[in-house]
Amino acid sequence: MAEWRRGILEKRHQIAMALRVAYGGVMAASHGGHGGIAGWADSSQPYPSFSSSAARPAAVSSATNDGVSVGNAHDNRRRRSLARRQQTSRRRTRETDERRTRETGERRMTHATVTRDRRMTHDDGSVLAHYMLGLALLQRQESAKGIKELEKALDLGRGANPKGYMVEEIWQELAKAKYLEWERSSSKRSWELQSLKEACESALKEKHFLDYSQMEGFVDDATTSHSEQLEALERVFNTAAEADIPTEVPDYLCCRITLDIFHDPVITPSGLTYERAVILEHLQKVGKFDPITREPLDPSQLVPNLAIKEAVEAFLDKHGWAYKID
Amino acid sequence: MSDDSPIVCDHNKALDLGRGANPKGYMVEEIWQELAKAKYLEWERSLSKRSWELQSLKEACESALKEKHFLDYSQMEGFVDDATTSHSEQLEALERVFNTAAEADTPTEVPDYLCCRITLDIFHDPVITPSGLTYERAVILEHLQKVT
Repeated sequence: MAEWRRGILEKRHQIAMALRVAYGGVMAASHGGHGGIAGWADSSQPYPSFSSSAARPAAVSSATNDGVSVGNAHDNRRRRSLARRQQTSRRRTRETDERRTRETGERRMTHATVTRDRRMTHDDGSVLAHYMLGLALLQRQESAKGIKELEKALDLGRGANPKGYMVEEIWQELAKAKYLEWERSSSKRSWELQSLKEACESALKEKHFLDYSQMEGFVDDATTSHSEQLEALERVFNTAAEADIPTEVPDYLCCRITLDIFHDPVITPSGLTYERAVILEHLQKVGKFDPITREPLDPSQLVPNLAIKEAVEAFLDKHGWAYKID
Repeated sequence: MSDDSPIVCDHNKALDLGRGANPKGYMVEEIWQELAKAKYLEWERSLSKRSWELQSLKEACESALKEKHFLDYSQMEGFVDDATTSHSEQLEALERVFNTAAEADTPTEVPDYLCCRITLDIFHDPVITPSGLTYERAVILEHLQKVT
């Protein structure tokens, strides 16, 4: 039992340390004084920036409170008193904050709302911990590790609350990171392809010129054959570049309501597939019927469409441009 | 479907009608077999033409690049090793490009998400269960009939 607990503590400690290293150990206050990740959503920065004057993320705090030493005793005391002060101010600002969020119609994820959410406990499986760690790693340009953490957060978040706004928030960040990764590799590939294409065209033209100069007759035939060759080469290189050229995402991989590529597809008894969060919202707000066939439909009748989910993953692996969010 | 021969179109029509009448009937399977055979032969014919064209073009490009490299090489005084490395990399890249172009015509494994977990064959008439798994209709119906 002790070993198991030690393992958990070590894992928490790792998350805490990663966050501290990436963020300088602390998190910028936003939304009326409580630590949050809402402010950056409006800023031009790709990922949140953190200043030293505010509280640390809850994932880090929990690691410290569990007895993992992350600094000297004086630091710990100061952190605890700061946390107490923040809790008080958080209680005061909560009502104002919720009213403001309701009024502006924002669905931004704030630190306070996340920590209040009973589904998200600050343990190894914490959605918030993986999400924050993912963002931290992305900020440190460790995109592969960051993406892995965000994917973990997304899986855990979907399990807890498939139509929660936090899931959408995580997806947005994950899509952004994957799109940037694709963009980098795509530009490199495009440049290599273009160089090779030019080299081939130049070599073929040179060869044609040499052959042409040695020829006495059949010049027209050779010219026709040469231009056909160049056209065929163009087609070959277009085919090779196809995966990197943004086009329409096939209809069968898109929700009929959002017209966006599926994230979490579910199928109805009528055989139509929708985005889970969207169809659940429709059933809750509009009525318990299929929006297209108008047949009666209950949330319990929705079935995850695993085949389409796999197809979407395969498509996104091959066509990174489809991650782009307009 | 405009490129399909009249035979293929007729087979398609027969298959749709058969599925409506009796999805797990042997006749549906029979029609599917014939349709698959016709479509495969059609693909094979067009494939051989495409493959030949690609191969000819690839050889022409390789030959032209080698010739160009030889001419450049003969005019060079230094940097011969660099040029040779660059040339071999170019030929490798060309190989990859032509492989990508031929990908659609290269038989590989059908992705798992397009195959029935029982028959391990590509779906003809897929149905989904409450657990989210997809099966071939005739096969899952037969299974349910035997089990229940």
